[in-house]
Amino acid sequence: MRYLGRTLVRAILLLAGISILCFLFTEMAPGSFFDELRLNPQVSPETIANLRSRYGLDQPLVVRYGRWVKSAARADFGYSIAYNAPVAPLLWGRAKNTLLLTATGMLLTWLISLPLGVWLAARRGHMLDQAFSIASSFVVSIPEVVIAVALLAIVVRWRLLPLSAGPLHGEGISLRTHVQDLATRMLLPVTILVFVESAIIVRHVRASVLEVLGTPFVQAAHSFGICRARVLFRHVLPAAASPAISLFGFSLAGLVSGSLLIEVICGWPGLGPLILEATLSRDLYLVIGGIMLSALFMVGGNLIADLMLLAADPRIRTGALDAH
Amino acid sequence: MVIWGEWRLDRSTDNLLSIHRLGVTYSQPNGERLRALDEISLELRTGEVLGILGESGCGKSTLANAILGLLPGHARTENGQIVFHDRDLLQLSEPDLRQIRGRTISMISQEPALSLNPVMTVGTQIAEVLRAHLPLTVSQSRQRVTDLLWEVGFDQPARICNVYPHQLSGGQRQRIVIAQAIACQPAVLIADEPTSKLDGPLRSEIMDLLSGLRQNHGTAILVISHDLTLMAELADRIAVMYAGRIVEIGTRREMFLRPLHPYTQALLQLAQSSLVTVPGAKHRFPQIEGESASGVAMQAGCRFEPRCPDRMSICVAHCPPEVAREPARSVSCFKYGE
Amino acid sequence: MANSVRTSEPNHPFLRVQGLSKRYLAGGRWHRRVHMAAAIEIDFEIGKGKTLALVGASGSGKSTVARCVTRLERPDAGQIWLDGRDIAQLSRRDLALVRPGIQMIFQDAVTSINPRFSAAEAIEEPLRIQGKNSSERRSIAEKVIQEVALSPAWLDRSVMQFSGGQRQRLAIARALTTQPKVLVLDEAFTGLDLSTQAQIANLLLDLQAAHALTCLVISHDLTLVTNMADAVAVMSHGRIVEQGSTRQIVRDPKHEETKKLLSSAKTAESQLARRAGASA
Repeated sequence: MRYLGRTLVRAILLLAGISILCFLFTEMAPGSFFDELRLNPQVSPETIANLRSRYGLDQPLVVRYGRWVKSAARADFGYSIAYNAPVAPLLWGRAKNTLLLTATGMLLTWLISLPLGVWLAARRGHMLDQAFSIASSFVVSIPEVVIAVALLAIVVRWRLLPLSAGPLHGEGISLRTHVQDLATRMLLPVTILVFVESAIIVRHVRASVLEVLGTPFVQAAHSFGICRARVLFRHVLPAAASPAISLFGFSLAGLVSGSLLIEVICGWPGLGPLILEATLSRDLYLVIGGIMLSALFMVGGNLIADLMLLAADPRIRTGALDAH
Repeated sequence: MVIWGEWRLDRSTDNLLSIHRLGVTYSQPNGERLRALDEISLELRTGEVLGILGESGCGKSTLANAILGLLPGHARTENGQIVFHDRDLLQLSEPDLRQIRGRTISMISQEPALSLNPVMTVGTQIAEVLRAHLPLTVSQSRQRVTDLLWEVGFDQPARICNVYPHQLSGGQRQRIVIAQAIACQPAVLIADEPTSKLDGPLRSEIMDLLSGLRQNHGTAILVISHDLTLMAELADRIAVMYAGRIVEIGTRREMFLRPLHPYTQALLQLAQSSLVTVPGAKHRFPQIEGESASGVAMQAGCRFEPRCPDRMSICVAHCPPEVAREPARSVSCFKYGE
Repeated sequence: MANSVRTSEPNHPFLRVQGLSKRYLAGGRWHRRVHMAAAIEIDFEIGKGKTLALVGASGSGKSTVARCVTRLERPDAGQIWLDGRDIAQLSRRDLALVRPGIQMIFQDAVTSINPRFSAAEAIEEPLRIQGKNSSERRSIAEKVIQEVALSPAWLDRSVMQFSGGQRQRLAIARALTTQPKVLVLDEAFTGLDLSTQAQIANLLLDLQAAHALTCLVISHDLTLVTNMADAVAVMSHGRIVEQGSTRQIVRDPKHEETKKLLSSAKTAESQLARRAGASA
């Protein structure tokens, strides 16, 4: 219990620290939202100065930070200059779409990777295992962007999927059509996500299971006549779970931030395009809001992973740090 | 005394386990085959403790694994039989072997610290062995685990059940492994170096535990070790192995009083000379010259010949056959020819 | 009160330890740390070319002393005089000059030598650190491998092909490459079978005679060390409780711990004699 309390406190301190750093870094970055306007000779400097003071951009850093924290407490998280609206609802609207994509991707990835990793470890040296090793090395070394673009090109070239601008709107569209439409749109980005993530996770699961398979206690279990299947599921997997749990934590951590590039490439209306646009146009609080959301998921995901590890590994639970 | 098991004896003799001329080879990465066991013949009788004495690399662990069919993939048994309950273990299928492992023949391996699963309680690990072989209900299983823990020397079995291996000391972990091995009341227990990683007081405890098993339950024990004091304490008969062959077999008394084979003689001399009663002065140990012959590919003559103080010219070319000197006493050495 | 005994002529101990102490962190929060004393006020001396055995039960602090003497750890207090120079608190840079003179052999040769190396690579490692070129390294390797009674032809074999006892000999060869004056053996014989222990013990005696090596042997096995050592120091709970020449300690033990260690060793011996003679 104390462990939990300590971890929570640390998490909150971490988030606070990240927010301060965000402010510092954006302050150091060149440019501001109004740079374009300034170049326009029809806009007078007074107008710009007014706009600036209206958005509080002329105040010192500390004051701005203080105001932002107050805004956060009101659940607004600042004001977007481009959209002329509070940041939080903007973010959340897009975040829902992103989460739909990444949650589906994560579910599928883990459903495929866990059994595949275990199966490959149990059949080490088999042709399929070797083939997988080669293929996954390949996938892991190519940047995600390249894979995304490549798959997109294939889909377009062979017209595998309908590609239209945005989700269907309007009255009288049944739920079934809506879901079908959604599924078709999600197919490409989810496939890319699953493809890229699985390669990494399967490798780790396989390595960890393989390591446990070679330990004396597994051999001892066999020597006592326990059948192979039971040894695998009841004896090996629990012992091999720790690295997988850490990876699961990473997956959770990346629910918001892991798909930004893919969304941009596939035209999925999630956080990705929004943050990209905000960054390019220096829409300050929107950018900071996006970073904080991402950080929240990161910290939260790791926290959950830590708790799961605590539950899974008795050595951590009983504080078994020997004084040897 | 509660005798375990309803085992039948081999009708022709009263041997529980008979090994006839067993040979095992390993294939090496460079393509050669390494002969790990050569013409091994042994008998284990009901309720006796047979000690296999030999250095590391002589093939003792290979023998233990061969009996239970646990040899790794690159090993091959060539000829030979291992007869148990009128069946040749080498011919059995994997499911049949699984029924025997842990149930009628059990093994304790070398590293107690690593032989237990770190994420399962020790009670669960013992229960797993029970579950694999006996149709017990949950409460029967729990009762049996408690009885076993008590038998191997834990005062508070109920508490120990829920403890994890890392919370126990080395000696306690060794007891848990023994509890797993005797869970199904096996007729034969194979103990592979049960005390080599333990020091002083722990060794005596484990030795007492093992001899208690024999006395209380009539379990036959095959003790594999390089430790002469263990043999002196436990074994009824001792078989000396060198480089994959048995070079001498006899009762404990005879082996210690009148060792025949030069290798046995050298081992005994070494053990006796390193004792404390020799006045504490720095001196050389009586060493057996040369390298121990593990990892030697198939060789024509006697394996011990390069290191033997009594070697003769015939020893280089031919491997000495087993010669029976007295009942239950045999030696493979040309010094004791027909 | 530990009574220290010189194992050589007075005023010329090669390795002298005075008041050595080391504590380890055992837990507690950052504002209230808890320490555990592993070694307390250790005093002993070893003359040039002599062997001192440090014995005691597991956890008595023997390994801590070994690690401090070889400066794998820095002691909290005390002096370590190596050939007249105090190395206890030397900085890392100064220590680099001293290190070749004092080498350690560890308990498990299987884990203290990289199994992926060839024998030559394992032995030459210290030389590579010193910056010697490859032909120099090879000639030194050939010399030391013969000193440990292994064939130079095996230099290119992988370490995995050597048995436990042979790997321990490779570890000794590796230690010899820097021409040390002091060897510290931390439970180097544990886990090896008796004939291998004998081989290595004899090897050390020969090396000691050839190079005037000063040896500190750490073990829980009293039977083994009494045949190898000139003097014995018994440790219990971090302190030396009794010291003396081997003969003295074996014939006339004074402290409880010494008596306890001796009696379990004697039990083994009497078992061997008695049981062997008893009828089967």
